[in-house]
Formats: sequence, structure tokens, C-alpha cells
Amino acid sequence: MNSSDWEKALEKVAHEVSSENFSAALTEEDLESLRIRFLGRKAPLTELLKSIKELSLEERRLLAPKAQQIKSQLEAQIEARALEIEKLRFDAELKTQSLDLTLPPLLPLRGRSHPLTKMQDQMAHILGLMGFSWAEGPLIEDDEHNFTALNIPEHHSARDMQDTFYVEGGQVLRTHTSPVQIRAMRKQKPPLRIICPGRVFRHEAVDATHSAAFHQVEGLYVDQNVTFADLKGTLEEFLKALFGPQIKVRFRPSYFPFTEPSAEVDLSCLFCSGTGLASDGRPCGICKKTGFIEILGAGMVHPNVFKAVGYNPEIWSGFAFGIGIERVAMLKWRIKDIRNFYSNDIRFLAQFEDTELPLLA
Amino acid sequence: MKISLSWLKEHLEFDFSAEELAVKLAALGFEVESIEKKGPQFKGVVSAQILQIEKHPNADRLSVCQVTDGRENLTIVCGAKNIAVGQKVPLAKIGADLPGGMKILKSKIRGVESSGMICSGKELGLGAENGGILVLDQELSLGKDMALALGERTEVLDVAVTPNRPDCLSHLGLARELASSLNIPLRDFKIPVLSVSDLPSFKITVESKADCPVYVGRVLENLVVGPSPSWLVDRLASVGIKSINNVVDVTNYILMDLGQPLHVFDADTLEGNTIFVRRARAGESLTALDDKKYELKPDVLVIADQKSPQAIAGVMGGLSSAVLSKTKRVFLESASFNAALVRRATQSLRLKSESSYRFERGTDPKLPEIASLKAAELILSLAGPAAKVSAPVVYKDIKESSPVVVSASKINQMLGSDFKAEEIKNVFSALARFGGHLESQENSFSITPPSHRLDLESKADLAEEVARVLGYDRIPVHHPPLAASPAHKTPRAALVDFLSRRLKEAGFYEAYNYDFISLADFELSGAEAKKGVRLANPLSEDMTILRPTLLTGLLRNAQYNFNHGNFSFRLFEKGTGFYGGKENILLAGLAVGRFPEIYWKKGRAVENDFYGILGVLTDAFSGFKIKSFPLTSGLPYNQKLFHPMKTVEFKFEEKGEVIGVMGALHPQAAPRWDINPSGKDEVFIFELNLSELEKINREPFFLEPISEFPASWRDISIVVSEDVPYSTISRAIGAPDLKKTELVDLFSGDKIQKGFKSLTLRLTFGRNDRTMTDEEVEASVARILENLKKIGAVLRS
Repeated sequence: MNSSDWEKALEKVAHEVSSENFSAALTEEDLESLRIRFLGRKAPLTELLKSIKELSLEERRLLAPKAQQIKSQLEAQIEARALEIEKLRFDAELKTQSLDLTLPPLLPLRGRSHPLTKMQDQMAHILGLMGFSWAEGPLIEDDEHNFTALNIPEHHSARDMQDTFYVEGGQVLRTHTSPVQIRAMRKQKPPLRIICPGRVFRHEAVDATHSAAFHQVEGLYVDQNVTFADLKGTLEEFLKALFGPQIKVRFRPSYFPFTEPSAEVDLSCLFCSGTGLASDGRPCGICKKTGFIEILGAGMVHPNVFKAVGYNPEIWSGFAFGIGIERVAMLKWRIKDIRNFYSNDIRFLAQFEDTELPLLA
Repeated sequence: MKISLSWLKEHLEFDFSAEELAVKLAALGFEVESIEKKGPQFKGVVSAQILQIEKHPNADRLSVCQVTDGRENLTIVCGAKNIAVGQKVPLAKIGADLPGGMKILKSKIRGVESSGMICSGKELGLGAENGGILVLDQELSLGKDMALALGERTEVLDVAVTPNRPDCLSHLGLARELASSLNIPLRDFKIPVLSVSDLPSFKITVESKADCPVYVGRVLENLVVGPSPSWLVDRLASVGIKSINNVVDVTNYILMDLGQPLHVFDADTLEGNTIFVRRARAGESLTALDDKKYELKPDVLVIADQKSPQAIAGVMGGLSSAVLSKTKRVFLESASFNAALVRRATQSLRLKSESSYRFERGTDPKLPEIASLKAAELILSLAGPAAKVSAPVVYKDIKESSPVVVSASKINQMLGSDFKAEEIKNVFSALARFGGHLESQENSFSITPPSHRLDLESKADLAEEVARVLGYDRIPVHHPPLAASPAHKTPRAALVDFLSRRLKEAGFYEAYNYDFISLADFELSGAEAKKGVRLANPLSEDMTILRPTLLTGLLRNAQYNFNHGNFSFRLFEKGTGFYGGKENILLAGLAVGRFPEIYWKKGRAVENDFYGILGVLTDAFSGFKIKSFPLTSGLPYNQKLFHPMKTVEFKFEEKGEVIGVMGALHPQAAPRWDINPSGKDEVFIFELNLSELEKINREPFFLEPISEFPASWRDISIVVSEDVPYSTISRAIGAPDLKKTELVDLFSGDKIQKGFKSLTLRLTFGRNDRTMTDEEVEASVARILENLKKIGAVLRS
């Protein structure tokens, strides 16, 4: 074959290749027959490449790259089509493998903390970051720890503030976690910062807002030169961490036998944002129009309490506070009946999901 | 303490509303719990008479009345059925304001013009609907303003007075507090001058001045005891006190007005001419005004005549010396009693009164003389023109209160405040103005508090007084310095937390139950009653004894949830068990059913079975080196709850202290606890005593190196007698380089000889330094089979 015939034959191949519709190959088999037709052992291009050695070196140098280019182009086209065909095949096959993606998922078995535990942990966490360590004590207390050491003498009307359960033999079920403070102060020298979380008891008929057992977190801070201003600062930070930075805190005079001065601490109402008005413009039923809700009791430790534990009130001063866990949980989660906490109805317990992600370190 | 606004205004000049007063009181430490409107809350209503009644031409149920108020005749359309000609009725004229914001306008009712409204009691806010208009007294003259005729219009505040401020348990007391703290003028308080008569009176003998520092007695005679005038009845009613008669009402009026409890005896019923203030003697008793008989112990202070106790001092008088309508002569007592003594009497006798409420909080020792004068004056004005009063007989031994010395800088140092010395001085001056005494030297003050301020004894008390009056909001906010050491939990709390977390990870929901349970539940759990802790004053039958185990609560919770259609749950509780004089920190759990209870894809549910719950606990204890053993002793307070054959106990070692118990609920317990799970579901329970667990040290953990060389495993199937427990088998298996033994399969039945069981065990071998050869592995397996033979286990053919 001379070079001009060879070239013509190559042109013919080129023409055939360019006029071929590779997309017409729908299966891998189609494509294989195309490949055999164009690149097979007996394909014209293969034959041409085989016969190229019949040409002169010069002609080869000129024509071989043209032939090679056509071959590479063919290979690329077939390869590209092969991928397309594979995709088509998978697309068709995957369509047969569909799931109903909307069927109910299988949820993992996961437990829940009781809401009161969650709330107590949250409070203890905040106070822990503020340097308050835990202290614990027994639930059955003697009169001295629960009352007299806390400046509540026998035959004093202040005892009426806490209706008391007595156990046979004369001891009491602690009416507050304050006896733990007495124990802690007798064991440790000042300065100290402690919290006493736990269960307390009041001899009250159980109804929607009263429970014969409930829970408190009490805090105690003793150091030199602790002032009422420190109490205000600490509680304001604590309450803002618990309820959000937008809340307002108000201190009102009050009376507790173990603190002097004593304060009732109010929080701007969580329901009406402190406006005193509900969203429909009517008086807020939660704060009764006042814009504030009572949240905790606090005060400067009474000198008589320091004397009872052997701290010199001329040197040491301190503050104490107590917050009811049930009350805060009820406000926060809008629980209307305190008895819900003790029903242990699965439908109640299952609801306490973590909707807030704690930002505190 | 109920405070009537109009009554308060008799002592204090102010014009703010009840709501404004409530805000001011709250800022001073007196919470107002409610504000109630009392008396007529309407205007423009007069007394009128019905002259004529005709049927309404266009409405069957309405009448057209001609009515006069003495000045003009008016046509009124009325729907009431109880109207009659001649009746005197309240007429709301055009422009009248009725309670609830209703205003009376001229209007046409079904075509007839009506110039007002004849009112019912309810429409006037005076009571519930009784089906018709209010018919007035026939004696009432026409055209009278009904708002005046029907009593005093006032608002009554329920003020919470804290136990340290008994001086505010009266209208004068609260007025004085407001005057002092808010600098409002207090109206002049007139101490009456009485013309006394020389009457036979009583001597007073006080046994102990500590029991009774002040006693003032007077005799009043020629009295006419009868109903009180309406102003007095209304006044007392507004603060919740029922009228009795004019003399008794005066004592109650003075109590609510000045805060001094008084008592009147019918003097003619008293034996002898001496009043004794003494402790009761053994065997004495008194029938009090509440008609109940009280046995008096020697720690009760009584007021006695020559013969017997006539009153429980400061608490309640005796029935036999009560002032009744027949009474002509009374002995009026105005005294001060020891607060603790009165309180002890109220508690031992379970008897309380308005008087005891004040005495046990403390009364002003300077008040009895004034109160006696005031009461006598009022009785004289109410109990007939011939009434006479004696001069007082006074016993008095009052200790003057001592001054407290404090400086302005000390006050500011305690509060962290920056109050000016001048401001602080003003607070103390107000105390001095109301009976105290102040000496000041620039920055330093010596304050003798007034006799009614029993709460001011120390510097801290005075700091509170300053903060209270000047405002807590004026004390700045300051942040204490950072703690020098990190905060920590107690080891016990950390242990409770750890185990709670493990249980939550295993799907347990946390429960909270009360500590009080019924004696029946206590005994059903298997605890011994004599080791329980009983309440001396339980709230109810169901709450008489403290729980020894937390399982009683969880079983009740299971019962509740089954009854409410929940059959699958895992519950746990942490808490205290009370038993044998100890408080045990316990952690208990209960599991039943499957998860998820219902699922569309079969085979995905996890059953709550014995091995599943055992696995949860085994996993939780993995770091403690605590293992389960067949039940031998268990925990003493919950033994009746566990199935004897399906229960294990957890111990550190075989002979160690039992830390906990886990197993199936005893089949007899289920019906006793009224527990009905779904189908054949078994209930599994456990209880751990953390007070025991916390004694065990957790060993530090170090990494076990992971072999780089492949392990080899072999499955062997053996047959062994059914009564050989798996622990015997696993103990028997032991060979060098055996890493792990897993139970692949366990069965008995058709293919196996009766009384035997087949086990397939997967044995994994490996070394950390090299790959084991097949020969080595085979040798180990052979050795294991050899050991198994010794316990009667043979290779299954």
C-alpha cells in the first residue's frame, strides 16, 4: 500500500469514527462490539497501523501520529461511553432498591435523668464554677443541727415557719439542708464555700403546690469581710446563668432566723418578661401583675450561727442562700402540679429532653 | 394579719391606694398576700319605697314600678319576683356606680323608660344571689345613701408579718412602722383620762416575774352586756373576727387596734379577791371558752382565783368565768407573758388563739397599761350609762432594754454599702421618735430601741434596719474574689452520679418517690418492723414509716404505669433507705417488657430479661471488680421481693459484704403489689447499697497491650450434666495463651441425652510476641478438654 492509499484509508477510518454515534451504544455489549469494530484485531485502523511499516520512514513520521491520534480519540470516546453506560446500569438497578425513607426509625434505648436531678445538676454546675463545693448530711437530724444551732431556739415562734416531721424517738426529718452547713462549719475552718443539695421535708398536706418532701440547693460562703453586696453579686450571677442574662433580680427585706439581714430574692417574671401583663394584655397570672416572682431566700449569716459552730463573728462574716429545686423546675418547664414529679409516669419522665445546650464550661 | 385600710387611716395620714401600700410594705419586708374589698363598693344608691307595681305592657317577666326616694317619684322597670308595694329597697339612680364597673344610665326597656334600677344584694356586691332584690329594714328613712347605711367601705390587706416583727400585728403597730420607715405623720394617739370609782377590786399575786413581767387589772361594774354597735361589728368582721358581745368585742378591738391581747372575766364568778398568776398544779384542768377540757401540766401558766385556774395565761379563758349577757361586773386583764411559756402551752395543749399568736412572738411590755385604759374607756362608752371602772391594779417588773453601739462605717462594712452617716442617723432617729433613745457622736451611735422593737438586739439587726429602710436596692452589687481551689463533689455524690449515668446509658428513666411508705408496704418488702423508722406525726396512714428499700416505690410506680397502659420501661431511683438505725444510700431499679415495645420490623426488640439486666450491672461494676454470685444472704430489707432461684447478689469476693441484689420479682409478690405486666412478662428488680460500695477502692487502670499477631480460635461442643453451672465450666477452662472464652450456643432436648445439656464454646488463643502454631493451639485445646473431663464434660460426637 502506498502512502496515498494508506492516507485515504486512514481518512476513511476517521470519517467513519466521526460519523459514528457512540451514544447509541446502550449496553456494555453494544460498546464492546463497537470497540471490536474500531479497535479489534481486524478493525481497519488496526490493519492500517500494522501495515504502517510498509511505508517509508518519512511517510511514517508524517502519518503515524495522525493514526495514533485517531486511536486515542477512539479509546477515550469508548471509555467515556463505558462510564456513562455503567452509570445508566446502576441508575436502573438502584431504582429497584428503594426504601420507604419515611418509615419510623428504630430509636436507641436511652434513659433520662429526672427533671429534679437535671435542675439540681444545673444549679450545682453553675455554683461549682463559682467555687462552691458539695457537702452532704443525713436526712434524719437532731433538733440541735436542724434548729437550735441555726438560731431557732426551742419554744420560738420561728419554728412555725417550718412544719416538722418527727420520727419516733424525737429526732426530725430535716426541714432544710441548713444542718449540713452546721456540720460542714464544725468540720472545716473558714474560709469556705459550699453547697448543700438535697431532699428536705415539711409536714404539709400534699396538693398541687405543696409537697411533704422537696429539694433544695443551699449555699454558704464564709470569709473575712464578706458583705451583703457580695451576696447580691453572687446571686445575680447565679440566677443569670440559670435563667438567662436578660432577667432582672430584686432583693427585698425578709426574715430567717439564721440570717441577719435577710432577703427574699425576686426574679423578673419569666412568663410576662417582667411586664406584669400576659400576651393578651390581661394581668399575668403567674406574677399577679407585679412583674416579679419569688425565687430564693438569702441573707448574711447570723452571728449566733457562727457562735454555735465556733467561728468568731467578729472575724468571719458570710452569706447563705437557699433555692427550691421543684419551684425552679416548675417555672422553667411550666409544670403546674408538683405531684407530677413524684408520679413517675413514663409519659412525664420521657419528656425531659435537653433542648438547651449548656454554654457554661 | 388582716389590715383594714380605713382603720389604718385612723392612725396614719396617707392617701395612697391599697395596691400602692402593698408595694411599699413589700419593700419594707411585709408581703401582702391579698387585697380584698369589703363593705359597699357602690355610689349613688339610696333607700327608696315601692309605691305601685304594674305589669310591663310588652314583657311578661318584667314589672313597671313607681318608686319614691322621698324627694321624687321615679318609674323603674324591674325583673325581680319578690317585689311588693310598700317595700323599702335600694335604688340605684341615674349616674350610680355599681361594683364591677356598671354605671346606671337612663334607658328604655322593651319600650318603657326606666330611671334607675332596684338592686339585689349581689348587684351591690353584698352577697350571693338569693333570687331577688334586697329588701331593706322598714324603719330605714327614705333617700339615705346606702353606701353609708350598709357599713364601712374599705379594703383589707392580708399582710404576712414575719415572726421577728410582732409589733406589726396590729393597726397601730403597722401604722407606726410605716410612719417610722416612710416618714409619714402618725396621727395623735390620745391616752384617755378616766374618772375612776372606788370599787372593790382584786389583789394580784404573780408567782414568777420571769413568767409574767407585767399584769394590769381593773374592775368594771354596772355593765349592760349586749350586742355591739354596728360599727364595731363591721370593724371586727372586716378583719375576720366574729362579734360576741359589747365587752368581749372591745377586747378584740383593742387587740387588733393596738396589738395588746386582753381578757375579761365575769368577776362575780371568781372566788376570793386575789388573782394568782401561777403555774398549774398537778391534776388541775380547765374547760376553756372552746368548750373543751384541758388537763394542765405544771409547765402551763394559768390565771387562777382562790380556788382554781380561770384562764390559760395568754391563750384562752375559762368557760365558767366567760362574760355573758347576764354579766354585770368584769375583771379586765392586760398583761405581758413569757413568750416561750405561752408557746409551750399552745403546743402541749394544741390550742391557739389570736392572743397566743401575739404573746408567743412577744409583746411590748409598755403596752398593757395603755391598752387597759383604752379598753376601759370603750367599755364605759358601750356598756350602759351606769357603768363604772376602778383604778388599775398594776404589777410590773420590766427590764429596760440596753443600748446597742454601732458606727456608720461598721454598718457600711457589713452591708458593703456606702450610706452616708446622716442617712443612717435618720433611720435611728426614727426609732428614737417612737419610744427609743439615740445618742450620736458624728459617726458613732448608741441606740436603745423602743420597747416594741424586740427584734433589735445586735449590730446585725441594726444593719438590717438601715438596709431595710434605705432600700436593699441601694446596696451595690459586688463580686467576691475567685476561689483559690477548684470546687469538688463528695465521693458519694460522684459515685451516685457515675452509676446513674451508667443506668441512663442503658435506657433507665430516673424516678423520685417519697420516703414515707405504709406499714403494709414495709412488711411486704420483707423488712422487720422493729428495725424501721416510724414517724411520730405521719400525714396519713399511707405514710407512716420511712422506706428501708427504694423498691417499694418502684413497684408502686410499675403498678401505676401498667394501669396507665405502659408495659415496657426501665426505672431507677437513688435515695436513702432507713433501716436498723442507719441511713443507707441506695440505688434501685426495675425493668419490664421490651424496647421498642412495638416495632414494625420484626426481631429488633430487646427483651428485658435476666441476662440483660445482669449485663447492665456487670458492665457498671466492671471497674470495681465486683461480681455476681448465686443468692445466699441478700439485703435484709428487701428479701421478700426476689425470686429465690432467679436472683444473684453482688460482692467483691465470695465471702464479702453483699453490695446489691438483682433478680426476678418473686412470683408471689406480683399479686401482693397488684402488679399486672403484659402477657408473660417478668419484672426484674435490683437494689445496690452504695454505703457499702463506697468503701471499695477502685483500682487504677493501665492499658493492656494489644497483640500485633493474629489470634486463633477453635469452637468446641461439649455435653455436660444439666446441674453443672456455667461458672464451673468456665473455671475449669484454663490454658496458657487462652485469651477469651465465649459461649456460642447452649441447648438441651431431643438431640441430647436427658439430664444433659450441650454447650458450644469459642476459645480464642493468642500471644503478644508471635503467632501461635497450630500445634500449640491444638495442645491447649487438648488440655482444656482434659480439664473439662474432670467435671464430667465430654466432647459432643
